[in-house]
Amino acid sequence: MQNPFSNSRKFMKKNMGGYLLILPSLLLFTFFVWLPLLKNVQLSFYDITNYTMDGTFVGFDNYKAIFNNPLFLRSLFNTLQYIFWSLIIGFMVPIFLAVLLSEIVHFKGLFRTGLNIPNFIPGIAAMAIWVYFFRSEQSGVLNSLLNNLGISQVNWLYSPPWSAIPLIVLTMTWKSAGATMLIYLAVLQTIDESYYEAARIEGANAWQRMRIVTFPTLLTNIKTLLILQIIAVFQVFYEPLLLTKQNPYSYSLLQILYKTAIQDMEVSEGAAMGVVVALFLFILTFIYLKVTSTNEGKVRKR
Amino acid sequence: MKKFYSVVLIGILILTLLACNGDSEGKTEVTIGFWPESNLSSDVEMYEDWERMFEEDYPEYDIVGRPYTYSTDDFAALASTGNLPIVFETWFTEPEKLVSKGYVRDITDILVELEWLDKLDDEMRQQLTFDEKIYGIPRDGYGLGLFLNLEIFEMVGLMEDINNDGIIDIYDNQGNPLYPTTMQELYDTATYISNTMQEYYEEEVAGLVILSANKNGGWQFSNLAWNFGESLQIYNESSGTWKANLNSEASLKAMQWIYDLKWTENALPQTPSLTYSDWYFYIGNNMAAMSFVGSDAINLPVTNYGMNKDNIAFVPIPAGFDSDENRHQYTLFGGTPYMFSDRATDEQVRGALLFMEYIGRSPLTTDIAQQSVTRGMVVAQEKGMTIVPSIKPWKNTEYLEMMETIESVYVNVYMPNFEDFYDNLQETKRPEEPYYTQEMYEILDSVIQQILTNENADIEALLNSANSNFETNYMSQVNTD
Amino acid sequence: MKKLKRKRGGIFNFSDYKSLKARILYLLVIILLVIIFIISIFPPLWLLLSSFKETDQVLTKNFSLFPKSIELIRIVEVWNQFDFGRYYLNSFLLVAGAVISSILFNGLLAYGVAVIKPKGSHVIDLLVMSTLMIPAIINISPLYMNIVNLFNSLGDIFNTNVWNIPYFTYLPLWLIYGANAYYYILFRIYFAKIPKTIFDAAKIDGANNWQIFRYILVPLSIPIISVVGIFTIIAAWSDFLLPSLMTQINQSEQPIMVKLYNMFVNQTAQVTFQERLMTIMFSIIPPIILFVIFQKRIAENVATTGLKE
Repeated sequence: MQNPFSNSRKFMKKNMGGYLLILPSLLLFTFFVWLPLLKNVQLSFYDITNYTMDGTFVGFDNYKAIFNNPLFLRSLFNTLQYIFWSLIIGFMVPIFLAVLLSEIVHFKGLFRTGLNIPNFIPGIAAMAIWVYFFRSEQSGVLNSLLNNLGISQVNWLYSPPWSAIPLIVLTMTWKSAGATMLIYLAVLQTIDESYYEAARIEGANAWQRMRIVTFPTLLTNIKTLLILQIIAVFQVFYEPLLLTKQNPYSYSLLQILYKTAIQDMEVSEGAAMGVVVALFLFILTFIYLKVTSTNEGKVRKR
Repeated sequence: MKKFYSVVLIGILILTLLACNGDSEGKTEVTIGFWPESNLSSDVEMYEDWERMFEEDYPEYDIVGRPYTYSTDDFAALASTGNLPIVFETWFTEPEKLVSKGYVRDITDILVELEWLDKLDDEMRQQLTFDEKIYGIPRDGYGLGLFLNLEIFEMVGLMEDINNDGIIDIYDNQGNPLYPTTMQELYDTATYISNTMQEYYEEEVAGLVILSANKNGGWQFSNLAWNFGESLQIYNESSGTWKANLNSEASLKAMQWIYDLKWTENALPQTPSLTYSDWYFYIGNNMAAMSFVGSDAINLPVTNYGMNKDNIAFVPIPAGFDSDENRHQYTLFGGTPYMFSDRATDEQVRGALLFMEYIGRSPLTTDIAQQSVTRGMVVAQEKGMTIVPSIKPWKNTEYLEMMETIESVYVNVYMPNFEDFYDNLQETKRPEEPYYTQEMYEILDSVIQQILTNENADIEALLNSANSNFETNYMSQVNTD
Repeated sequence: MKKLKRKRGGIFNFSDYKSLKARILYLLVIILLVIIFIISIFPPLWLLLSSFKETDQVLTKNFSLFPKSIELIRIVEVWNQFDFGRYYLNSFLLVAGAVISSILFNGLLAYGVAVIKPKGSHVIDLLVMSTLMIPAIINISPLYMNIVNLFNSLGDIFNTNVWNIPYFTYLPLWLIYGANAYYYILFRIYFAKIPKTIFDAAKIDGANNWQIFRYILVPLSIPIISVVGIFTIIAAWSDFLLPSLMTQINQSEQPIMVKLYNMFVNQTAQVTFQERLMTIMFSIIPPIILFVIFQKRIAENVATTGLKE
């Protein structure tokens, strides 16, 4: 048996040294992430007049208030729509693009570069450009293009009323699809040609080869990226802010949160909204971590 | 690691040294937040001259110019860090919120001391009064009117230059108005304009711009509802309580009027979500003929989109539908306020107020005041801005006379196209609804946007739910307070 | 065609392309990709060309991509009028600090958790990971309050208004990038793959933790450092919410994105149409140049890490 004291001393040394090194980072995480999260919870139970921390404890009043606020409920409902459309558009497009790109042998590099450019345009700048494209007037870029083709104008973001959300998701997809595609593309390139060969020998046609070989390979990444997609959609903020301003049909959760907390200076109600959104995101993050860790496990077993 | 920490340490040391050179000569520092931005050189020069004059006369003050444009996105940041200028300009929509958050201070005593209090315009004073204390002074007033883009009116043949002076006239030979004076006429004119522009010029021009976002929708709508015959908040004498009245017969009619303009006549812009910057975008680029605009903002299409100022006319908001004996016509009226940081000392507030004389924003009529008002107009004129008669924030006769004398020289618009608005103002002016006004505007914004976005919107249901939302969440608190 | 005849692997290979049907399908796929390619680059291209147009040439129902004339002097005019050089400089400063802080602090934390593994480090890992997807804006008011309180008490200690110290407000804007779960996880995954024997050998040679980090881990981790670096550059360049709050006091310290945000959201901003378009253009040029230079590395890295920015 070893001397427990020398052992613990060695442990101390190892631990102390390690902690000293990560201490600055931990301080930063505490200050910028954990403390604000906790303080948000605290603020949400108080009635705070302004940005000082004086206020009275009011229990769940702020939560009652926000769930009585039709616009907040509306933005919750809108978030469901954002999720729905992003599953249809934002999620499928990159997979589709990756499969196409993995199949071609001409101009591959050019396509890969071009499709990736939007991802490097800063978010609000990208949306500011789309504002001009989606203008409802004849002089909007898309409408003037249609006009040149002899097609009458379209009220892109407002007609029918629900059309804003799919179009906003489309612009988000325009921006990010190239980058997501790269991930799928990398996975597709790991598929050994012998798998396809084997399928071919068994008499599988193109569609069957895709179903048997291509999709199963992508499946792990699909699961991960699906959850990331949903989480990203919860954070829609400047897209509707610029494209549709405060239109109730596309008003997002973070838009109302920002308006309440910063513009109206209703700190405590803003905090309550923040807690509600954070709860959703925690649950989703938890699922994400679960999914990815089982993936890691599988890889190790292999 | 050592190297890293020492770099950080040295950095902190340098910063502290930099920070410790604050000077204190026993002067009271007064930061002025409405100082012009550095790229407006002629304005900056003017303000610097004023500063010099003031500091000569009042050596105990040190004026510090700090260009600050009020915005809801950054106000909380400045206020909570104690970095608000001593005095700053804000929007007419903001005083209620700023006062309730405790970020601005009461200046009643100093106004009394300077004998300015009784010279304040009554309505504007009321707007800046909370719990019988006064929280600011108005820069100038505004009244909501109807802005006409005369170029479009001429194109569709509704108006022409009858006296051949190069400016389109808004009256016919007999002096009858050619612009809409009732809501029905406004409806017909807007419809006629957009149809005609489409038919003859194949241009898409909105007859009328109605705003609907950032509280502007509710703000304009309250004037509409008044002209259709009812208030949005009513006081019940017998029970002594206030009630929300967003779903009155008049509100319903006003909303229906908007709905019809949009869906029956297609006379509004296609986009239903418009903020204040949109109206002058549409008008300034000849994409719209009319809009409801505050009289202090007439300049915006000229300065932003190069509109010719002679193509502007500004007339009262048309009267409601009712028969002549029951004619409703109001002009929503308010002021753009100067407000004072809650951290300002009495001495600083006094300094800021005294400085107002030197920039021509005080009720005083001294030589200095006259020179400053004149200089302000000369600079505006040189920059090619539109100068229209201001709505005076002070009511003492000497001040009014002084302003009128100076303005009669410098006003550079064709006054006949503005006169009706100014003549009407005194008898039709009406301040905003009293309680939770901004919250009410926001709720109405949402209703207007839904009506303008969804052709199948149920106006009555939307107004009913808006009313109960406003009543339960806000108005009910008025009576318990 | 030669390339098609050599194509092995994939859903279709050279043998499939012997049939005309497959070749037509291939052609259609290429056409489709060309269309998608155009959609991808068209908006920025339109912006670039339109910023030279007169307002009425942009607001027209007859679309034309090219301006009547390209006067480069215009760029210079708008650049000078709005003093964009200053905002660029501010943005570069913001980005530089953010990159250093992001690499140093997230890297150190990942090193601690993945390599040194002091007792209880898995708890830290869990705490960090649980905030992976929480955007800063959710906590914007408490975060801002914390910064304000800290700065105000610093001001009390040094008896000065720290808000007036030039670029002092950039400190939190830089340091917040040092607390990013995303960059942390990228480092952690990478560090975990490095054979442990390398570290053990260094320890036997008497190197301490910091020396191992500085002289062994960093040289071995250039690929991941450049990934996090590029991600941070893009993120810091695009950031506008907290920078907007922090730079309100000294507006001359605003980065270009805050300028752009104010221009579009502030309803009283007085800017002409062209100036708006040029501001957007100025704000997207540096990241696109960065992309063009590093695109190969970016593509490789996304592929190896399986995560994108």
